[in-house]
Amino acid sequence: MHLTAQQVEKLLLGTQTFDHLSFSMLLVRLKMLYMKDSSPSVLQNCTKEICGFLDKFQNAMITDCAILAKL
Amino acid sequence: MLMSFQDTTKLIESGKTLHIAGTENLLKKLPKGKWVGGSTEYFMAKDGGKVSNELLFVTEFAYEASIKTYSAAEIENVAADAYDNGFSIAIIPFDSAVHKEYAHNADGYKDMFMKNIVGWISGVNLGVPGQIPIAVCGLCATAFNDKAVVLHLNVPKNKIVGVNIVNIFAQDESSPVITFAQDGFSAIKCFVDEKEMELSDYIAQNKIDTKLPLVGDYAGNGVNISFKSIENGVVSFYAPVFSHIKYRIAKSIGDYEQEFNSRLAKLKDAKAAFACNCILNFLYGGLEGKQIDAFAGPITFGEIAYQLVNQTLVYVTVD
Repeated sequence: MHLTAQQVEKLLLGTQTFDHLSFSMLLVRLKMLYMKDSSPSVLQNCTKEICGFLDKFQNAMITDCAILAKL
Repeated sequence: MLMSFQDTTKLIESGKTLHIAGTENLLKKLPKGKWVGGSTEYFMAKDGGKVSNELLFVTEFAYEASIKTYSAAEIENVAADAYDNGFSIAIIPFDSAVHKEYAHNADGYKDMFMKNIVGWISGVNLGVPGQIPIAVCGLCATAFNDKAVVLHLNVPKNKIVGVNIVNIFAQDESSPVITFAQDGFSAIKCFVDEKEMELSDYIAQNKIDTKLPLVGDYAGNGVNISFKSIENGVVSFYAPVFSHIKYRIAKSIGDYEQEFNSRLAKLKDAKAAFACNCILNFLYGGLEGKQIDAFAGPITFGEIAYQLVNQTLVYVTVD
């Protein structure tokens, strides 16, 4: 599953909730980083990190991926 | 499973890869081998909660393994060192510099959420003075009170590892949101629904039961921060609160044992390769001698599911 930077920005600024523990923890950290510095380079890094995570774990987070697909 | 010192020694000498929990005194007497250990005298055994300074809780792993020690300056590498498809069990001595470093900064470590990192904070018998929380590297049979010891396990690529928690607490949605201006293991002031006040005053005025943790909102998952003490207006916690997290006091629960077993009943098919549960659940839930249906393992002084969590059962599945 691939998310664009635009979708990741929606995610970072949104209030979606997820089942997968480590995805939730990762998201909370990235939200904090993006809140401190909303620059394109931070967004790019967040996008890379989230896409890397999804590449590895999307099979274990089917319900959460359905939420992500709606971004 | 709980084992005698002699049987544990035999297993070590047979070359097995082991995770061992037990009293500081016994751990220090075990022979060198492929094992890691941490101090606790509290256990969840198959027949119920137990306190013992004579038995050791031993978990055997049939996976390729490596064992590493980490100082406070080195612990940031723990996830980077973990196997891509595996899990790592970190044992960290309570109140050590590495405990504090991990608690504050683990979420920012390289690869933290790309690997499966679990573990626990080692402790002492709360009724026996003079003990020291330790983590032991069995390779050199050395006990540390200032280093984490980590068992990195490599699981075959056709297996899927899952890190899971059982948290019987949830935010009480009818209670106000509590936030903090600074990260820390203690706080004097906080914001209650954005109004600044002393946390100890809020707790006293609202008769908050401090056996209930603060529950942080992690995008749908609750992460607990347990109260340790309140002295002279300073509220101390067993894990740090963070300024970017919104907390609420946990919703009250009726019967701890019943609540645990009702949660665990839903997981009856789960086979945990490793599990640990919090000392506060053990004490507040009066779990000694009471049977909790699954997830045997050490009772611990802080649990690690990637980050440090409190009042939580952590378990790993390999399917």
